[in-house]
Amino acid sequence: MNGHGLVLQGVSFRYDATAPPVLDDIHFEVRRGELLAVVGASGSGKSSLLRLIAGLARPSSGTISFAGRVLNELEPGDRGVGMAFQDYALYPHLSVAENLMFPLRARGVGRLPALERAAEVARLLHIAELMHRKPRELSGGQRQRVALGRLLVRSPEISLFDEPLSNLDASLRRELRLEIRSLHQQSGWTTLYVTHDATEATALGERVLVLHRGRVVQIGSPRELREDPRHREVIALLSVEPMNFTRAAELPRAWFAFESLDTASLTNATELAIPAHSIGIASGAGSSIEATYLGGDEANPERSVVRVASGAHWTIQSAGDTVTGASIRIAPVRPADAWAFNEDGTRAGTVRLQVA
Amino acid sequence: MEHVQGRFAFRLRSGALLVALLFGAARPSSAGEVALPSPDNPTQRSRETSEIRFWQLSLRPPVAEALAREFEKRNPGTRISVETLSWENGFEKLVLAIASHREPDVFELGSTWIPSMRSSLALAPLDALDARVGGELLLREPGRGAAGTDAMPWLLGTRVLFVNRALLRSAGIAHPPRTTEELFQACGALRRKHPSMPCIGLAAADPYAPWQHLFSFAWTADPGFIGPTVGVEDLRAGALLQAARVYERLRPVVRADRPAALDRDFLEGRVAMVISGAWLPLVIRDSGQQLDYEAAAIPALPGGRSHAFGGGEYLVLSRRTALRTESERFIEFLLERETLERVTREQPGLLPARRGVAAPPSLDPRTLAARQVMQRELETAATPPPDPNWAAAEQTFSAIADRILLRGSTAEEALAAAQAPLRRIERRTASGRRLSTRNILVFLELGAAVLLAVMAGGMYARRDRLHAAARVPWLAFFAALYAIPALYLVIVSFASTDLLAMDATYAGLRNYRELALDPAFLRAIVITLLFVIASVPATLALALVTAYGVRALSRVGRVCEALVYLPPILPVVVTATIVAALFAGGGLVDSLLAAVSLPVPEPSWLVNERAALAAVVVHAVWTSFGYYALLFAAALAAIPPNVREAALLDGARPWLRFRSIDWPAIRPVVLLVLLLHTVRSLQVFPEIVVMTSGGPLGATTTVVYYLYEEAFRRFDFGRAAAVATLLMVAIGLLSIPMLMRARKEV
Repeated sequence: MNGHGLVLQGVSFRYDATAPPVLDDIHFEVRRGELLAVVGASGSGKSSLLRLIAGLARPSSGTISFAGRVLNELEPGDRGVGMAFQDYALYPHLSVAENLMFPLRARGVGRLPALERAAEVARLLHIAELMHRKPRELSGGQRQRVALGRLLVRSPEISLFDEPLSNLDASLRRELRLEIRSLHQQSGWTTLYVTHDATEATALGERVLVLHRGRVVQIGSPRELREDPRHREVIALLSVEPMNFTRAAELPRAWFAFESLDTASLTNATELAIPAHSIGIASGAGSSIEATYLGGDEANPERSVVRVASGAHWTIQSAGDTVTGASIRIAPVRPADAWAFNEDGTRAGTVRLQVA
Repeated sequence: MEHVQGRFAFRLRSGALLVALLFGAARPSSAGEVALPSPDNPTQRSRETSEIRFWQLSLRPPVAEALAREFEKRNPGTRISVETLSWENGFEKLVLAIASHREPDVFELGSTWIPSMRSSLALAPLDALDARVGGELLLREPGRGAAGTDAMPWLLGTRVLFVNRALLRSAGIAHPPRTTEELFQACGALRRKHPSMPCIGLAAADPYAPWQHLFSFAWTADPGFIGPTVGVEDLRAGALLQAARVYERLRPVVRADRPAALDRDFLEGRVAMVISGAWLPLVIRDSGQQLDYEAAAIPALPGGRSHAFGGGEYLVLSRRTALRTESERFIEFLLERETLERVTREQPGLLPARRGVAAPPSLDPRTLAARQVMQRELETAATPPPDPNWAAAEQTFSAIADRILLRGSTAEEALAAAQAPLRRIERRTASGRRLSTRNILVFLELGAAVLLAVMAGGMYARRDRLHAAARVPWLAFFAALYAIPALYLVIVSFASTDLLAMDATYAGLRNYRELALDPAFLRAIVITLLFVIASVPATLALALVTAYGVRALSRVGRVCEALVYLPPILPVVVTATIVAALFAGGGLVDSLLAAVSLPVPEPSWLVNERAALAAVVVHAVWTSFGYYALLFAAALAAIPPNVREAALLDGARPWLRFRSIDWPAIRPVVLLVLLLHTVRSLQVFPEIVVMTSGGPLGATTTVVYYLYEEAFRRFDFGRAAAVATLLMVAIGLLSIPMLMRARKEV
């Protein structure tokens, strides 16, 4: 891992010596010109990761380098790092034009060249007519465009995005996502894009890094992650098909075909991720479990949601016209592979589900 | 006497004054004129109860209560209700009570104030009582007016010379100097022995004490040098000149400071002699120091003999009392030998006005000896003239001492400089057309009606009746608390009024004209502006720096943060006392300056004409910057942290970050604070009362302090109202553009 991109080696971060680490022994590289999406649940350390790279916080240990140059001791302004924030972080008392010119002016660029460059970027981002407005007079989408423009104006070598689209509605999100992708391609930025939205991560990222409790659990292409998840969190975040997480012990033995996994590893502690499409309303009484029907899945008309005995919600295949609140029995309705995970979340293997 | 009050207390009092005047004016009377106090106009309250109201300052409350109970036991059916006023604002309270015809039946009055009260006809004659017991009493003169006796001496004060015997002996001097010649010789000998030690402490930079010391010397030559009025034909002749020359000659060896500082220096052996009063022996006794000292008469001028300053607390009877016989009997009781012995037993620092009162048995021989010297001196003590203008003239006489000791003027120069202010004081007699209080009221009501009509009309024009109706309470509140008093103030500023006499005559623009010509007022304006220019920018800058500092603080630092916010919430009296102590001669500030080899003002900060205002400025900055720092810190905290971080990432240097991010965010707050604090600073007052009493030589007399003196020292409420009106207009003019600007910004 000593390439020419952005390299993090053994980076840890904690607020003070006695606190548990926010980030723990992080190793990865973002290749030059690559867009790496970082996905993780809230509290996984995503934002801290960006702040360490930007220089807004100092790592407790480890080194951060870019193109072979160690960044650790550099001031944020000297790292060649730009950042787009979830709340845009526009300068509230400056006009759009002044916001766009600010990074150039801060680096001593003259007023006129700065203005020219700002106008150019504004045209590119379709905000040329907003130049005289103050940030509070802009919509959310416009603000994020200005923030992108501010990033673009100085074209940093490394650009960091901290959930830049979370505050926007879905259609705007899609539009700006495309915009960011094309900006990234045109500019050749080395980009780290943090999001909690797996769709966004897989749509944007050439590779995706999954962060869980301050550790990198897997890094790879979206396809790699989906097909070969190394950790429970990867499948939980990235799976397109809804997954039902459950303890193996809570399910009838008859559901499993044991040839695929030795029984010893399917201990009581093992957690399974069962794809929704493999479960449906049981035809007979044998080897099914009891559940309460809660209604159709909002995201997918083909799926329904039920509550099982443990209290967990499962997503299953929709079937017929069941009344909400009705007691039903569910069971595997088609053979499928379920992921099995160890106590610590690492993958144990797969288990074949069979129609009982 | 220190006159100490919080800023709010002062405002409150100004308000109360207006209410009092309004109340007095609204009393029914046949001619519509002010109801002048008269013996046959007793108040209703007193007739219904046989309770004597007694206001006093000297006795501790339990002592006063015990005396009251004793009197009640001897006089069944009469009740005494005692109220103990504070030295800080008791006098103002009394003035207000008299102005609103609510004064007590019997009250204690300092000898200085008797002539003013007498001229306003507030005091009842006490001739019969004087005939009965006067022969036993010392210092009767101040209680006797042209029409007879109206005040009975009760507890007296004088000034004597205290000498440190050990120091004198070390210079080969056997006894305290009896004449000024001996004093010069003693100081010469002391200087040779202790070159850096001042020989004698003389009061300066105070409105009251310096003249008492100076006059004590002058009276040794001629106890009648000042006649019955403040006017002295030519100050540059006679006893006062001789005394002033003594001051001039002593100057190189004098320790000039405010009396409390002198007492402390004497106690700690830093000055060999000091002029002080009856409290000093007790202070020395209670300090536990074995100071070898002796009290002696003030050294006499050639051919003269000692006539020390005499003054004190007198008992007077209100002209309006309904319980004259009982009240007189109460005064007589307070003057009885047994009563006074009981009083001095409890408070041995008090000197009774009656001869033959046994000394308190508990006193040690040294304290007792000092006390006997003072009692002896009271037999021949002289008193200031019984002129109603005396209270106004005191300061001018004190300034003579200040000029010589602090400014280095010659005796002749100092006396010449006093001549013009004294003439101005003398000229101040009411003249002009009578402005009856009913006319004032008519003006006032008319004005208020017009104001209300304009406001109501404005609201009606909005065609929003509910909205208008909802504003009525606010309007009434505004009218009652702001508009009417302000209007009244303006009206009174066109009148010549005596606060005590409740006498108003129309004076046209005279108050304003006189103000424009009064160098003291013009100087007060300059000093106020200097104060504002020095304190406001410094306060704001320090507040801003602190606001940033606080942001950078660790958790431990947050505890220290409280120290910054503490001064603004402490009473001004407390903070001003602290700062005065820090700036006292040889205090912490002096030590720090000396440690870094910087010059220290002579003789001390608060007594130095150039340095006193600086000390007041330091106090002002210290007590206000924390509050504004809090406001600035809040404005800074409102900036999203991401915005600062974005600027960091954009590579902006600190100055650019401040200019484009912080400054625009806090600018509205800064503008508002600038306005508020400027307005507040224009009204600086209580700290001046505590720290400098407007001195030295008027160097810290600001506009509001000048106003206070006009109202409560010279009772010229018309002129005080003119000052207040001008201040009101100035603040109004200042506020308009700043408020408009601030509104645009927000």
